[in-house]
Amino acid sequence: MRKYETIFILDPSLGEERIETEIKRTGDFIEGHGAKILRTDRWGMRRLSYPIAKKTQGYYVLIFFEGEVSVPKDLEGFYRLNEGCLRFLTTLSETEAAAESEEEESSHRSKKQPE
Amino acid sequence: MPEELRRRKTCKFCEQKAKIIDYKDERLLRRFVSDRGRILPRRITGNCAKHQRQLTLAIKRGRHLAMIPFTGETTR
Repeated sequence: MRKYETIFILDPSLGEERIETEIKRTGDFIEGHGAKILRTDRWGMRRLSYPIAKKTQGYYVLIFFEGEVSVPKDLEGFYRLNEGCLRFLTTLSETEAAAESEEEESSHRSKKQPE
Repeated sequence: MPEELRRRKTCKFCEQKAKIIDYKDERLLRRFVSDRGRILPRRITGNCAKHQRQLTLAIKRGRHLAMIPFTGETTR
């Protein structure tokens, strides 16, 4: 199991209701593949730096999850089929991993100190 | 310029002991691109090679997600 983060931009012309269902659908897809959602951040509507599919705004959603290595690949296929999804990116969650290794380091340090 | 007048540039990320450069931090990324959206070279920013590589990747990810522009701000 590894920690990932995935971010996607939804087409604002879907309307609020559809956006809600798309977010839920994506979450369900991730969980349906045996992964655990750690956190969902909604950045909401943001201006795009350049137009994508003639849209100047997009609804950003960021999901942190923990799952097997196959999940990001399946997720990509899922995004590609979703026409309301303007952009997506799934990466290993460095922020989560860094927080963890820091914990480890500090615990190592505290263990070493009594010597 | 005499040696003592030249300000020594240091890597901002090393100074802050940053472990990772987050592509989600738009304000940070914007500091390292020119007003035309190009990635500033190490020559100018003074970043170390390691952090410049990480930064470049972060900027490219940021561009993909339309958080920072590929070209100048005024694309019409």
